[in-house]
Amino acid sequence: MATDFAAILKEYNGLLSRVASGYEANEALRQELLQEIALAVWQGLQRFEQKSSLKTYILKIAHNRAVTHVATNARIPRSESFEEHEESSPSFTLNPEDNAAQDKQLRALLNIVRELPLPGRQVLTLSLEGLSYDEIADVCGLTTSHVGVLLKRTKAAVVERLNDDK
Amino acid sequence: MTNNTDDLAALWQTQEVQAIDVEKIQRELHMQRWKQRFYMLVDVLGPVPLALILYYQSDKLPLSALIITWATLIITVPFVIYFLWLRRHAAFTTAVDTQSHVNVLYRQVANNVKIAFYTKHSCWVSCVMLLLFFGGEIFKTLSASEEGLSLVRIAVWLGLGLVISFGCFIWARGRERKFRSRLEELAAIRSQLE
Repeated sequence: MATDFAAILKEYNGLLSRVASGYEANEALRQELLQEIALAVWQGLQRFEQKSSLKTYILKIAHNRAVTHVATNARIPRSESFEEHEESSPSFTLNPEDNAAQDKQLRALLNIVRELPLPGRQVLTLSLEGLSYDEIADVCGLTTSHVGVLLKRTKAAVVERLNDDK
Repeated sequence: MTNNTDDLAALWQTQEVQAIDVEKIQRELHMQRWKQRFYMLVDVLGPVPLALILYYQSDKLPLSALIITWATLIITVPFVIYFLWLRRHAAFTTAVDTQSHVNVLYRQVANNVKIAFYTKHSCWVSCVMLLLFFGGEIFKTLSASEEGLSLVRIAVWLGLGLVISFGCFIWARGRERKFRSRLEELAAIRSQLE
């Protein structure tokens, strides 16, 4: 069973890494948060009862751990320094200029996401991971209609800010 | 570029992935399991010295010390059972929704604030109790009407007790401050979710 958990963690590594990056800008703290999330997921997997999809279940645990991290590290500033910024995975289909532009846009997106109030941030990032309204509602503890309204509003605000930053 | 959900999602997915250190997690889980067992053992062993004192020394202890030891033992045993129960439940990670998680976390931290607050105040109360108890012993020794403890022993026990109580006071005050700031942050998160 232990090896299954390791395989699940490896499979969802990218997803969990993106959850961590939505909450923490500092690279070292982000890595720490990712490990904390992975540990919580491993412990949570022992109690998985298949009432929802595995992805939704994992995202629930991951977001809860990230919220705890925010509350625990309240006094640590979460803005990224100049030298320390996230990079996008280099795309081999893009030329270097386009890669740099994508990198810049990603950085802008991450900064905007981290500044969002918690409900908007959660709803948006879960939507970007492909979850349905019902699944997002299940993770956040909101009604489906509330998710719809919040997502529409948040997305509009994010797109507007991204376009302003261009 | 970023006018629809698909573009935004595609951009989001381009993030560089940090790797999870699975071996470190396995080591951490193993260590946590042992830590948990160790804490449970410490909890269980907590009242043992009191029981040993009562078993072997009860006829030699002054009445006041005997009463305090019995009272401490009686108070300690239910706490040990409660702590064991808490530790067993704290070990589980539950997948509840974020709103419920924040509410539970808020209550936990609020309880931690209370515990730290009461611990802090119980420390100076302990100092007063120690001064009263050993003050009585000093009075008995000096008046020599009753056989009391020697002044050196009183000074050692009193000094030790005061140093430990003061250390606990500082520690509890630090914890109270830490939990209060965490509670403020959680209150802000909670207000966003409402």
